[in-house]
Amino acid sequence: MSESNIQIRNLTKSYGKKQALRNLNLDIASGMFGLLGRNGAGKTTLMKTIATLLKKQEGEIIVCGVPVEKAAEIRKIIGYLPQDFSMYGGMTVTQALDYLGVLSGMSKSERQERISILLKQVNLTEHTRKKVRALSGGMKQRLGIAQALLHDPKVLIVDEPTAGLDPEERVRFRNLLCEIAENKAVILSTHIVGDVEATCEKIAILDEGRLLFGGTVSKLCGMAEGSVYTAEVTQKELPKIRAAYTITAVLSQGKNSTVRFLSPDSRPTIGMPVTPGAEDAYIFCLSKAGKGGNLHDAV
Amino acid sequence: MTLYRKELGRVLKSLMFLLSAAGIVLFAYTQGVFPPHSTITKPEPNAASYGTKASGDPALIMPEAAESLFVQYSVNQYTTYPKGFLKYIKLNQADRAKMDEIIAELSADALSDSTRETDDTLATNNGSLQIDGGSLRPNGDGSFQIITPEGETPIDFTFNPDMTWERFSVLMERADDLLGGGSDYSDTWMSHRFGQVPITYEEALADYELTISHDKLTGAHARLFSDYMGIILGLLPVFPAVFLCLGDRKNIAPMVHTRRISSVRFVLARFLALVTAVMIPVLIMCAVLTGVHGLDYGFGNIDIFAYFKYALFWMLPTAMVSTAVGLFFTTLTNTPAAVAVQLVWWFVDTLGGSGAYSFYGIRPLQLIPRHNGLGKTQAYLDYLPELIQNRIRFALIALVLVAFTTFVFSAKRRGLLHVSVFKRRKI
Repeated sequence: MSESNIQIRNLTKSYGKKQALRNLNLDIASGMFGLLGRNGAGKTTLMKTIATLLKKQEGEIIVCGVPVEKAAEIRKIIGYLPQDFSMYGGMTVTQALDYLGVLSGMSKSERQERISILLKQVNLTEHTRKKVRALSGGMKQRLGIAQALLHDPKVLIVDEPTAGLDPEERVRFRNLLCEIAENKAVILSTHIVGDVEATCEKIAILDEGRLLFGGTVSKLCGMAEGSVYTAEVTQKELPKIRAAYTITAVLSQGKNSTVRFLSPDSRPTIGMPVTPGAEDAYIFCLSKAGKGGNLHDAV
Repeated sequence: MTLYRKELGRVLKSLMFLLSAAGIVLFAYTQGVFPPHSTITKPEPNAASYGTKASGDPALIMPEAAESLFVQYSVNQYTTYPKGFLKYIKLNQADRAKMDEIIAELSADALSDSTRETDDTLATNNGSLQIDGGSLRPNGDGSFQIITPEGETPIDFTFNPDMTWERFSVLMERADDLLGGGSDYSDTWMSHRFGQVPITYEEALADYELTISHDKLTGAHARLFSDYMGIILGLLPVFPAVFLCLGDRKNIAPMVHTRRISSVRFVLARFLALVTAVMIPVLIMCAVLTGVHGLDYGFGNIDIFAYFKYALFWMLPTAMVSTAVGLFFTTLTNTPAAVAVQLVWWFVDTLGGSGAYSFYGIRPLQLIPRHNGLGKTQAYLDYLPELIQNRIRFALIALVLVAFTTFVFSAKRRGLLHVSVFKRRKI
């Protein structure tokens, strides 16, 4: 097990009466780390707090040995790609990177060298003179990754980077992140479980600012073992199943549907148990929390 | 320095800057200072007029000032410039009674009860009776008549011929105090505003010679150029500043905020780039005008640096303030509110009578110093100390606004300040 790059202890943050993060404890090591949660779970707040864009109220965050209060030091070692990344539309790809390189305090030769390497890495070499506003969604996200990596940070934070990308771009983007994560800590925040399942070994699930789960994907799946079932039902029976169980997937086939559902407390009257996937386990985790279950203690 | 160059490049390529630069040049063209419409010529004897100047003669100042005060008293509306900004004053009953006493002492005849009643009627009828050519009638003997509404007795005012300058000064000071200061009756302005006399040929000649020796011709032209450029630089630079900062809205701000650069360096680079950009069309015009005057008067007779000296000393602080207002309010609010702020300031400063102070001095908080004439070198030298103070003051105001901008930017990049009218915070 590699040494933790980021240690978060008792982190609390609120906006007025709304508590966005509640007493959060988390260790993030090198490699891909997935952060899952519903909208409003506190993922963006956590990422922004690590990236020095928000000030914590209580607790402690240490990034590569540097407390987050030392914002100037943290900014040297962190790369950040926000959701819906954008840059000045009138700049070309190279100009945008060069400008941000200047803001990162890089010399001209450093900028030239890094920009050339990164454009190759994110496959934008053909588009260096293209204006940012003319880039497609996927190209823009790749430029986003390039800018976040420009100053060669030790930690990369990416907030829902695959939202809005077509499936091919999504896969390409995930592969790119995995490549980058070979020698960095990459925190990937998303509510698309498939992205995390395909890329991250370790994950954390947040809900209403609390840590519901922290550990490996296989451990998460193991927790849902014996609680996931599948059954073939008619369209008429479907509402009854919906009312009785938490459904994780429905596949319609003519008049019948194949449903995957959760039954954590007792064996259901219909269906067969199946091996849980990450999505089943994630929903299992959230549904447990909704029923007052305390998964955090369990892990 | 690299960031400054990058920001300058961004500003220079922006549409808003190009429009502002065009506006600056167009304004200079329409005001007849680019290219210059007039040249400095030696005054000829027996000309019809050489202009006017303040005489400083109590015999002329006193009746004019008293009449002016009486006009304003009649409608109970006084124009003042406390702290340099235009303000209309309406006196309350108690202060009007005190002003009654001053007017009574200034008048050859004590005010009758009927006059006072008429004053009340005037004041209460519409609250702000305007005196114009139709309601103000000179008697031709130094006195004049206020024509009251139909059917009422006109009010006569004749200045008390026995009034001494000392007593008059005391009364005017009292009147100025009642008005809250900054009126035409204050010690500072009275001798400039009243008692104007024609300039003689000898005086015009002396001023011409001073313009040659001190200004080397281009200095005088540069002053008139500065006068007009100040008006436009008091407003237009806010637009490129607002436009540049609004570019950081939406999802671009985190790209900038998470970078290593210090807030001070970032804001300062932007400020300097914006000020440089807005001064570029001015400096180009200065260079062209120097060439034009060199060809007109001969390069040996002019000060080839005059326009540039005035650009930096006179115009630059105004441009700095307009730019800093743009930076500060846009960084604070993420809206174009700075345009409204600067527009109000500009409106109050220019239409609030800054032009009226041409040649007679500079108000402490006059954003746009005026010198609406070619020459008048002695007048310029007389108010130069005030101008220097004024320009230093505005340069400092600009730097204070830049410091505030840095503070706001720094707080926003740490999430300590959230002023947004458009977007809810995402959790």
